[in-house]
Amino acid sequence: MKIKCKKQVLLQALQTITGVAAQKDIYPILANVKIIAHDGALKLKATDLKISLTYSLSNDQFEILEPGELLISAFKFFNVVKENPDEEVIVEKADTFNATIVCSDGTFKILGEEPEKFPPVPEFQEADSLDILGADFQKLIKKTLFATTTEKTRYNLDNVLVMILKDQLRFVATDGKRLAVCDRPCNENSSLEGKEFTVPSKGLQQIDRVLSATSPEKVKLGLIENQLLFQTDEVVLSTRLADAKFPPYEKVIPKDLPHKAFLKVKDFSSALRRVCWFTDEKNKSIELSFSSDALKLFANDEGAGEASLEMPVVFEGEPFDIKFNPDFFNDMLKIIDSPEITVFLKDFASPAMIKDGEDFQYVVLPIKPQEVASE
Amino acid sequence: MGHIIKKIIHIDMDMFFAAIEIRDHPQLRYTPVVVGGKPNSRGVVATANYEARKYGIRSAMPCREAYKRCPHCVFIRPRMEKYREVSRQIRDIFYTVTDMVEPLSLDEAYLDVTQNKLHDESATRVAQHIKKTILATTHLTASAGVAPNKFVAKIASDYNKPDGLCVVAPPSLLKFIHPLPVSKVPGVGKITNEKLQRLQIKTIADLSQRPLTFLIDHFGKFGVHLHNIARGVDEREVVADRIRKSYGRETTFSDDITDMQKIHTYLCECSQNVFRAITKQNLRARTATLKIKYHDFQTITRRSTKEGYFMSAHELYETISLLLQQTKVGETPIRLAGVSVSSFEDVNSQQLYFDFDDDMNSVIGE
Repeated sequence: MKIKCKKQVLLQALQTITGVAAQKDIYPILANVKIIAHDGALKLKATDLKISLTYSLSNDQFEILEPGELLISAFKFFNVVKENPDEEVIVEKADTFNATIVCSDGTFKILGEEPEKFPPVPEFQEADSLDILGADFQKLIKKTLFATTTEKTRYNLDNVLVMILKDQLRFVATDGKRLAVCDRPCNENSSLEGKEFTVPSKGLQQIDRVLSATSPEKVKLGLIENQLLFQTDEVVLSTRLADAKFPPYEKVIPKDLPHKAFLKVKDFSSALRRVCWFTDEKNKSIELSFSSDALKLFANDEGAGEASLEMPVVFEGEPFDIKFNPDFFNDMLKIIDSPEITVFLKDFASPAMIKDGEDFQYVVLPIKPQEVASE
Repeated sequence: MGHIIKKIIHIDMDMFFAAIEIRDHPQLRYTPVVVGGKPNSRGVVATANYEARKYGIRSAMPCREAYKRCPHCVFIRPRMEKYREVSRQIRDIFYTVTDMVEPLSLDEAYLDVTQNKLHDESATRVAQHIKKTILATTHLTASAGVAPNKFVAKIASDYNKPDGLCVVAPPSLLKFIHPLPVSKVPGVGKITNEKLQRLQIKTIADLSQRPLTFLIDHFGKFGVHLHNIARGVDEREVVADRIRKSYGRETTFSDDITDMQKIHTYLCECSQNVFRAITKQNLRARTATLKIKYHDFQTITRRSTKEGYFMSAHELYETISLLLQQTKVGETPIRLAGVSVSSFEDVNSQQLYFDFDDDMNSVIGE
């Protein structure tokens, strides 16, 4: 095998690949990247058995001088390419399974393994698939993934629930204390409609990385057995689905929240950031005090001091105070698109719901004062 | 509804650290004794006995100064572990009387005995009982103040120290506090005191003559407090610092064991159970105690107190593992091991969890 490839293109592919390739100490063979140069196509493959990725380089960026395959350390290969002084990288099969990379100031030899030893990586199948805009798919991920948790609970909440509705996709995530629901349009697809599955956070993180690196206009989603497949022009990524059951989330979305507050995202973010300087790291809480024309934010850290800020707000309802973990708001504000959000509230011991347009709902549970909590 | 008049006792151990030292070293009985730093050091006096106080030595005075005033004074380095142990004995006595105990330090506490476990209506008799029990148990004397509120109880306990008992009943409350200098008012430090002196307010009686508006003008929000105190009003509650004192699990093994692996496995499990149990009760603990009974029935405990709280079972287990290194476990066979936690505080508030189904909370909340 011998290939010549534009450095930047190869580097971008390897950046994505190294995100998937396993750490060497787990299964040595999975720390490798498989390079396949056949029939005018150059593909890189990596897998940790849970997530697998195939990266196809666009064919005007490389030249196959001699077809063949290699299986070499993904990280070694990545480092060599990253620091390569030339515009182009030449990779050649040396003796048996090893690779030689020649550059203008020297040569690297990377010891390889027999390419046949690499486990098969799932291929995308067009039959059961749906189309969605890349930007929409990334929004679904960004607006829900932050609400998952790595904490061990009865339900495994380090997952996102994916629901395929008639002409939209719904993502739902929760850590037991807050819940994010996001909807985005997709093409109508009868074969997948009604399907529901849970995807591990890690798989979605990888997809998010691919989306950020390649900004594809359109993506395809497919489902085979217990795998979710994701396809763009360059990438096919598959992630194993989680076995865990997702909790019945619909029953915790509140329906009767009588008070409404309209908040300017910019004002709220800035006030929140400033009062958060005075929250106790171990026991983070802020108090929000709503009245007809103002929202007061209050934080108190016994060891550091306190902060009290007021911002104008349009509030429809009875004045009241409520305590929250400010992180729940900080996380949300990072992913909001609109300049204004609506917060629906009831009382200090009931959830608050935030809406950003029609396709994002976020439910946050408050911190209840002890006297009330112990009932 | 009528206002219930509370019965508060303030207990203050007499020269606590020094008294313990003198109890344990009777030869020091008539000698001036200072517990604190070294005489030539920058350390300060923690406690001075009455002999030393005759020389003008006071708590928090630099030791060098104390030495200057009384060079033949005996300087003793504090044995905090011992003082804590005695303090625990005393607190245990308090808890036989009421759970409404607010310790202020090792040697001082407020007790709300409006309702008490002795079912005695007389707070005076309750105070006498506490003093007697402390003396019998620790051979140390305490002074007690009995009053309808914390402020007056604290002043009363200081009234005829040592071994004092001063009862201020509601009818004589104002008569008792009016002659007191304003420096006795809680929250009045050096600066406020100077300011009060400048305003010709020297006693609580003087304070009671000034209108509330005057006090607010000069002292802001603190003026309200001064005004209340001058009228004998102190609404501060006795804040009990615990629901229970400690929580622990221990097991006597079927055979004496030396296998460290087994012991670690057991202690890890034990830490998890203990942590889970207290978390369920919304408690957080600062102190971890490891208890070991060796094959010859010799029992030891090793204790460690953190600055903050144990936030996870793992953290608790790590501390227990460190304590284990201070024992002979592994060399000497043991028949029992146990983990307990203490120094509790209520978690002030509670993050709510979604109730996805009936038992979600109990599981997810752990």
